[in-house]
Formats: sequence, C-alpha cells, structure tokens
Amino acid sequence: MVISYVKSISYMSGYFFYLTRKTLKFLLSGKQDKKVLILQLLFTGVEALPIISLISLGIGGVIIVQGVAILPQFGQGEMVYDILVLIIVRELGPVLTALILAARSGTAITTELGNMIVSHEIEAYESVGIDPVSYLAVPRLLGLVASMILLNVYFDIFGLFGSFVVTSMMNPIPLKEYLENLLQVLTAWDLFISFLKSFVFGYIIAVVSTYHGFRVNHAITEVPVAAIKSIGNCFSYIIIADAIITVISRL
Amino acid sequence: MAGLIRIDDGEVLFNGENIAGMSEEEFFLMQAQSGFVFQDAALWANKTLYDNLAIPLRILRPGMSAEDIDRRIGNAVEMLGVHKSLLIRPSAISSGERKLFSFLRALMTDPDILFLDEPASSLDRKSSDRIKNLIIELNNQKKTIITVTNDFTLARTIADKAIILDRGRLLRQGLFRDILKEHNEDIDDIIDELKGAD
Repeated sequence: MVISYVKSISYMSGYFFYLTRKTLKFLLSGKQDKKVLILQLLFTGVEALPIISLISLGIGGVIIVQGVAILPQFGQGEMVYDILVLIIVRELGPVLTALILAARSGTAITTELGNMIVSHEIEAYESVGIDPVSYLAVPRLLGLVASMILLNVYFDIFGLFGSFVVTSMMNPIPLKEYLENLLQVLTAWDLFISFLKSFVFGYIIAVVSTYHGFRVNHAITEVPVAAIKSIGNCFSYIIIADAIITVISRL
Repeated sequence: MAGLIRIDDGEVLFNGENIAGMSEEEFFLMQAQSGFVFQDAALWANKTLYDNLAIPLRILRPGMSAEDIDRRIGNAVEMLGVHKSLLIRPSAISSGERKLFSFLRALMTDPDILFLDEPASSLDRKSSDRIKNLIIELNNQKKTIITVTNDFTLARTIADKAIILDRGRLLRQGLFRDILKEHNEDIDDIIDELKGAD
C-alpha cells in the first residue's frame, strides 16, 4: 500500500511538471481553442458565485458575533478586526473557496474526462492530431486558477460585508468607520498570502482532478472511483499546502 | 497501427519513420495527417455537430478563417447528403448518422491515410451504402484506407490488399483478389479454410 501510494505521488508529480510545461506552451501559443477556457471560467467561476456568497456572508457574520461576544471579556474588543482579516482573508477565504471548487468543479472535471476516456472521445482528439492534455487539461487549469483567485477576492469582500451587516444589527457603526478600522489592520502581506494560497490551491485542484480523470482506463465503473480519489486528494493536498504556506509566512 | 495504443512489439513505419520512436510533436503531426473513424463513432458528446467538425480545423489550421471553416463543413455535409441541423448534439441523431459525422470529422483535415474500424457495422442499409460509396470515392482519390472489418462483402468491394487475422493470429496476407481466387471466390469459408491450412 505504501509502495502504491509512493508510486501514485511520483506519477502525479511527473504529471504536474508535464502539465506546467504544456500550460506555458499554451500561454505562448495562439494555436489553441480559447472556447474551452471561457466555458471553464463560466462553469467554475460564475456558476459558483451563489454558494460562495452564501457561505462567505454566513462565515463573516458568525466570526463577528463570536468575536464581539468573547474578545471584550479579555479586554481585546478592538482585536475583532485583526481576527476578521486573519480568519477571512488569510485562512477561511482561500481554504473554503478551494474546498468548494474541489467538491464542485474538481469532481466534475474528473468525471467528465473519465467518461470521455470510456467513450473513446480522448482517443478521438489524438486521432485528429489534437493533444488532449493541451486542449482539455490546460484550459481547465487556467480556468480553475483564475476562478480560484477571483472567487477568493469575492469571498473576502462578501465575508467582510457579512460581518458589517451583522455588526450593524448588534452595534451599528458607520460603514466608513468599519472600513477604516479594517484597512488599518489589513496589510499588503495579508493580501499576498491570500493570493498565493488561492493560486496554489487552484493549481492543486486542476492537477489532481485532471490527473485522476486521465487515469481512468476504459471501464465506466472506474469513473466514480476516480472522482472519490480526486476529491480526497484535493482536500488532503489543500490542507497540507495551507499549513506549509501559513507556517512559512509566520517565520 | 494508428498509434492510439502503445506499441509493445514490432514497428509501425509512417513515411519511413517508426512511430514508436517519434517525439510527442512528431506523433501529433503524424496523427494530423491521418484520420480515424471509430467503431462507435466517438463524437465529442458535449459539442455540437458543427463543433465536432470544426474543432480539428480550428486547432490544426489556426490561419483558417471562420468563413472558410464554415464553407468546408458545408461542402462536406453536402457531399455526404446529411441534412441535419449542425447545432444539435450527437446524442440527438441516430447511430448511423453519428458514424457518418465521425467520417466527416476524420476527413476535415484532408488526411493522407484513413483508418476505419468496422465502418459499416450496426448500420441500416442506407447508411451502410452511403459509407461504402464514400470509401470507394476516397479510394478513387488515391487515399490510403486501412479498414478493420469482418464484413467480407464490404472487404470485397473496397479492398486491394488484405491481412486476414483470427484472434490476433495472422492467417494470410496479400492481394485480396489473389486470396479470393485461391479460395474459388468463396468468401464465406475463407477463414475456416485458412484456419484448416494453418
């Protein structure tokens, strides 16, 4: 089991470099069909907006409620803004957005590619001289990374807005004052870490989900198994990457 | 032979070059010069029929204008006498029509070699005849066509050379008319006779 796990990691690492090379080539070439990229952005980015809005508003509201209830007891009432930035912008924004994308788009990509292998559609691309990795995986990677970055920004804005809405109901303060307090504690470093995490998480989801999709080997029963492996790997690697980036950023 | 399955023994030469030793770029270039019609059509299910025909041109002929692609698809569809809206998905047409579109897709880039996997199997008479006529026409245009079939009537109509296999075992290869002559034109018993001789 350990050997097969090590093998799987080494194959996936090889695929990571292969896909990265293809992606750089895609970006430098005008030969590709951009339609797949646009559709991926639409599916991964735009269609995920409702669920991201709901979760970010809820999380923002919950954090402010808990912060306002607990922090004054320790004489740290002012720290609620630091907590908001730390939790929403640096931690939950990227992580929750990534988990939503992995569950929603990652599994969809694995399933779609797996089904395409079973129905010989991937071979059909090869048969006309189109590289399926360049045509199918690269636009999905770019779409996922771009969507992840944009949805993370959207999550942060909506999360902070959600906390303002709840604050207004509990202890109304002017929007200007709320924003000023937030901007006082929000640093460029926080924004960079948030951006870095969303980029890395988007990349992880794309590599893992396309890898497992392409690994399906002609039997339809392999597709759900691949989707389960894909989401399990995505969740694990996202949490590991989050821990690594957080620790390094605090050194 | 078409390069879709990794070669684990022997060699397949394309323009004198072994395809097993080709770089990735050379391999896809070679594929672009050949067409493949799958037994189950293998059209791209989430694309329209139009896109199924246009994608090879958009990717492999990046300089080709949308109007030229449109014209080429129009001519191809006309040639095969398919009168369907091209804006529907493959799931909305019959299996015979899917096979015809698979043919058209393979022909879009005007390949030198065409691989056909059971081209007329599980088709109604009309579609089967259309496909046979198309193969004959392509043959007249001096295209190299390699067909896998267990339909000896089709083989007799279109084949110059034949390789007769039984469960992966080579029974006979050569000019098909010579093989037929040796067996008194009796195509039904050809396999049994060859197996007996083996």
